[in-house]
Amino acid sequence: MRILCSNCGLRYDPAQSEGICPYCGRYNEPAEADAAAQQDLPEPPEEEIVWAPPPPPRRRVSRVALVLLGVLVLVFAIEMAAFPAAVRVSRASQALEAYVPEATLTQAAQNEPFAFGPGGRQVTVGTAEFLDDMRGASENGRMVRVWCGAKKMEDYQSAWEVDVFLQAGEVWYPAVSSYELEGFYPELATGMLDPYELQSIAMAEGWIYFAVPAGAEELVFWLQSQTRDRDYELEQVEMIGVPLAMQEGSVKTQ
Amino acid sequence: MKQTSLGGSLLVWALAALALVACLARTAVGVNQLEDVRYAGSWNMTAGPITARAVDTPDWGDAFYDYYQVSFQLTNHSQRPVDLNQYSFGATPLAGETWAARFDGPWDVDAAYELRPQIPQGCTGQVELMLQVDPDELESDTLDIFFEDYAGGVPLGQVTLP
Repeated sequence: MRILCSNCGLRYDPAQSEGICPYCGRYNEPAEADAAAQQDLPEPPEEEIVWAPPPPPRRRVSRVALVLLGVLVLVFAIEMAAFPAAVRVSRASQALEAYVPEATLTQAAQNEPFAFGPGGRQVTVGTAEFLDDMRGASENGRMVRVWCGAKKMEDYQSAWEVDVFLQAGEVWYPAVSSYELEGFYPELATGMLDPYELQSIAMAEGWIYFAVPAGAEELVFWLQSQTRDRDYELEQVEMIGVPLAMQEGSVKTQ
Repeated sequence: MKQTSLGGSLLVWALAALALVACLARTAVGVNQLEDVRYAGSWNMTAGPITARAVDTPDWGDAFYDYYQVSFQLTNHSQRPVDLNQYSFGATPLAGETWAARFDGPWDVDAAYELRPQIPQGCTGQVELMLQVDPDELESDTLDIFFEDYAGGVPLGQVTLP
């Protein structure tokens, strides 16, 4: 005896499919009354098909999506806390490792040799000149050059570096690089002393050029010796200052 | 079994996708911050009390802004010299727009040999900077002063404008 499926509304014979609708898979158990009623009804013609529109599909919430959402929210929360903490820790450890103690400051006299650096290299700071006819100085600045010579060394010292500064007031000024000087004065660059040469063992001498403020008069030339550890980190700084007696010079005499 | 509509299911997937994008974005920003710190140069410095005094608009300045001379002693404990220019330091007001105050200075485009004041490693020097302030946007007279290491900055202290 055929029955109507409660889900899709199509008629089928439950005896042939153990009660399961062959169209939609819903199990339908005919009530006794319905069965009796069905028995009384005349059999519809075989070719008649009772049609009903299919119900809208039902979807369940994807557990995968829920779990994924939970995991991602957790990861995001961890990231929001972990990255700032990692940045703070990294900064603090870097700053600690980079710490350089205050430099040892000593003085030497102009035109008199003195020992410099871990090998005690003999260095002499000579004539210091203002170069007001030198092109390229800024509007509020003037150029200065200082003669410096270093004697030959027997033993090479590898774990140190040299830099030079010119102090005006409470501020220091670095040396003009050879690259900068070559642009305008290639002839001066040939007689220039690169501070890097002071850490070699060969004899080195020449002029070191600086740009300082226009009103600067009491200038101090500083030789800086940087001692480095095995990781090439700056460990100790020694600076020797030479107060300069300035003269008026000219680049045209070169 | 608990069931929901198609719209609810799509919403959960959309939220998951949004969370994934947020995680990826935060990861990218975080890794970038760590890289910035790694390349920031290991700065280590301390500053003394910071003072500020109002000054007239300098020749190179703009009359629209107020100008203050900010001064402090800086001890450089870093591996490198500290450049004393307007680009090395920053100022952030405690309230209002962060760009309402910034350090500024003259720039001589014709100079081949510019003045490049520095404080060498292990030394203490005087820092004098010109602070440019937009009075309309500044909502706090107190500003955080920091050294710009391009990784969040090294805090140096606070200054209150007169």
